[in-house]
Amino acid sequence: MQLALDASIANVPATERTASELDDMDTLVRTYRPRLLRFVAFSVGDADLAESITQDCFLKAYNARDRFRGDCSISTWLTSIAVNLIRDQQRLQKFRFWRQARATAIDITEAANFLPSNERSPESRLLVKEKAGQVYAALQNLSPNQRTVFLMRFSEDLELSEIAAITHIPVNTVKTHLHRALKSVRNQVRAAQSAALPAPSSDAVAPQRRRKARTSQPAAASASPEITASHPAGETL
Amino acid sequence: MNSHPDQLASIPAEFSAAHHLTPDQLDDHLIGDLAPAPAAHLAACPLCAERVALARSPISSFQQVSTAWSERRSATLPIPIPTQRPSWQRHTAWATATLSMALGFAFINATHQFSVLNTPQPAPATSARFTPVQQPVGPKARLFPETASLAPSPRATHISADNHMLRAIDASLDPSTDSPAALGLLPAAAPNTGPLTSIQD
Repeated sequence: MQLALDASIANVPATERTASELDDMDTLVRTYRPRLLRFVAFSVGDADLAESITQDCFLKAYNARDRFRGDCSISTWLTSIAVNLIRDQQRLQKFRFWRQARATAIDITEAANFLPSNERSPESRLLVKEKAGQVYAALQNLSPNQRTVFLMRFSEDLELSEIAAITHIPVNTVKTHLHRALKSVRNQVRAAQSAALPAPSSDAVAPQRRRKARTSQPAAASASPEITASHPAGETL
Repeated sequence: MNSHPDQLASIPAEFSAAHHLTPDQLDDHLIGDLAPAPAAHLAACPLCAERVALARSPISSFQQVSTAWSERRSATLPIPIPTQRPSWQRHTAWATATLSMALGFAFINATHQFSVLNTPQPAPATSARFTPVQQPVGPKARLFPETASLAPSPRATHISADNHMLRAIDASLDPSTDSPAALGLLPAAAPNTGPLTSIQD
């Protein structure tokens, strides 16, 4: 629906389009609310608080629509307003619920039930649910800045320059935050996956080792160049 | 991918065949800041492409779930737009309601008074004085035919006839009419009237 809307308004001049979009509050909310709610909700970790912040965001945008110059897209402008509102919440110490018991916390397992079921098998749905839960748990251990830029890049698909413009921090600092956030998320996801795997018993490991020792010589002799090539990373996620 | 096709063409082939992406370069690719040389290698190396897909998998799963959640949440929670009437409309509505109530009370009061006036008055006690009938009996006589038969006729001729009859009765009962003069037993006028017993010459 978003793509169809974008395609239908592609031929309209940008200034007229933004002015009409900002004046039509109903269309503005229908178009940008899911995206904005997703960013705010997974930033604050509270569904009700995210609803409130999202509503405040649209109210501020509507009141300040005359000051919108069209330098960026409406989505970017709305996201910057949401970032400021989230920071206000952080300053007011209303973020304590993030790490504590939250009555309206987002249940990622329940959220995964909303995935469309017509294009994937139950096994793949379960896998997606498990991975999403691991990333969501890792997000909670990030700093607010890392979480913000991570969500902007990997959930909202914003470019580095857009993230820098929204958060008012240099691009290199954005890259640094993203690198740290990625490493932290990767390590936590890997730890969660290794913890979820059942530990192999000694009876099951011994025959595998014997079989591997028997077949190691022919396999090494017939290995392809791609497999035997040096791999500097030597690790996978 | 940030690499341009011209840049990809200028990259030595041995680089893309020998050097796989480091974890930092994988992160650079996920972030969107991969240099052209590693990008060219990534385009040619299925092993690194698989590593990239493996690294992207949890993030894309999270993106799918979060998108589904937010769309579902936005679809199930429609935003109610409060429609409040302007102040002049509210004032007009209050004035109309007040006026309607006042008119209703006035109508009820008028109906009550009309019904009281139309109620037949109880008959007065027996009196010798003549009291002419002034108020005709209204439609209640038609509503109650058993009492209407006892009531006087509402027509003017009947009322005047009744008045004449009542005057005649009153006159017949008046004691002043029983004097001898009234009965014609005495002379009509006598300036020096003496006692009746005196004999006049």
